[in-house]
Amino acid sequence: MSAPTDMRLAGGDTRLLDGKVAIVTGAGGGVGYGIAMAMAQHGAKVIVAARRPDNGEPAAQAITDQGGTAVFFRCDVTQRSSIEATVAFTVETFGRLDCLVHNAVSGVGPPTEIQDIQPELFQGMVSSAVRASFDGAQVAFPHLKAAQGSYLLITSATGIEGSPYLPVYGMVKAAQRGFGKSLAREWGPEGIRVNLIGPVAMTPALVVAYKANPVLESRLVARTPLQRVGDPATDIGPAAVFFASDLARFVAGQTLIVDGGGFMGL
Amino acid sequence: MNRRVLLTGTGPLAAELSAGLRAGGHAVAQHAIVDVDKAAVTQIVADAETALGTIDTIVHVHQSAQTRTTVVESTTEQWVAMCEDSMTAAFHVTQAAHRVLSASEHGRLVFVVPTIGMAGAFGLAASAASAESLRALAKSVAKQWGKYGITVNTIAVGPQHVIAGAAGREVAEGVSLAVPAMGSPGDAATDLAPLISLLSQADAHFLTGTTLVADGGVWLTL
Repeated sequence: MSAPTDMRLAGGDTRLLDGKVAIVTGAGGGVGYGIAMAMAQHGAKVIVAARRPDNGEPAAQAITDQGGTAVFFRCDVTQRSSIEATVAFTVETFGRLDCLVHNAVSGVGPPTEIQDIQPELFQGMVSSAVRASFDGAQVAFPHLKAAQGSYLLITSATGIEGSPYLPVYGMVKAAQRGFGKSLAREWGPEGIRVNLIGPVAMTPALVVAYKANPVLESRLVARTPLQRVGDPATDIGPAAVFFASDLARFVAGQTLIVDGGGFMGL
Repeated sequence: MNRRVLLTGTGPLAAELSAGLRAGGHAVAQHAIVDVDKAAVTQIVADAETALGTIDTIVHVHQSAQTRTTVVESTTEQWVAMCEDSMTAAFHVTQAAHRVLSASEHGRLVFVVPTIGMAGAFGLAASAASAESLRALAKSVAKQWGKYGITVNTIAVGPQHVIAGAAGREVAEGVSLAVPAMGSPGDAATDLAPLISLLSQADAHFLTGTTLVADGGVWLTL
């Protein structure tokens, strides 16, 4: 079963985010791109924050070609100054910031047992997923407070159930959940909502994982009631639209697993 | 059956767990992790191995903040100390644990974390993040190390064990309306250490990857 790619199937004409401005990190491809596309289709002005112009610029162009408003800005989330520049550019360009989506994470590497993982891989994932969640929060805070906006962290069911293949990925994704719940408690009184999405989608990273582990695809689909892997824009994107929209005004500190029902551990 | 236990961690919780395990008849070497680097942690494990002969159980007590600071008010140094260094320490302990626990007939790795990772906590985001990362680490490593005969589990304890006094009670009350079913968050030496002892027994060989929530019956979400 293949994923629907028509945005109308995902409620693409509801304009839930008209007037809102969002930054999506790691939006040059995969889930980040899908979220950026969906948010733009629902009316948000989107900053495609990506480390590499060679995928960030085409991503922003593709969103624009679909009628959305998107601008690429180079952002390396492992550098606080780069996050600061991205937020400053966003506010300068669009006048406000309603939603920060932190999706970027460094390469997860091949399946490896914990005792054989190199410190560099560990540090890279901590920097891109965990430190950047903290830096993003601090930098975006005054703007999110002014807009009474939201912060959305992209986690994974791997952070809940662990992984026999990617233990460090599980660690950093779990760290984001502990962080996100705590931040939701701190920022609720400020009028800012913090939530998380745990997606499973057909992305370049998943293709790499399939190659490294040939049985992964069949097992993944077999455990999924909806019997397919999600599409980043039409399956994952709408969940981000919901959290960024006023429909989710009373939702805070929650993790929504968007994977076709494969993980039901919450 | 008495075991040879390496306990890594500092603070009252770690000390009381060590005391409780010793009172239960186990041989315990307790070491603080001061330098959060692979060589230093590997040396700690080697030193404990020399002192104890072999190691059956490694208990890693999560390094938690003892005071509250909001994310917005935190310095990067505070964040690194309470989140990233805490994660890194657990990562290195786990890496070093593999060799020694593989050699034991009853290899056990146990993480002790506060429940704030599961619940979130105002002013404790860095500790909550690292605590939750340790729970996920335990689950992943449990999946990887079952074939070596090593079990990996987490014991989650009430926040009062890491945040002293009224502040600890405030943290607990901030995440749940419940009062402990058992009347208190427990005593580390007499209520919590026996759970480590329990996990270390041969009869617990089929229990792995789980979180034992030992907060006296507050956080009942599993």
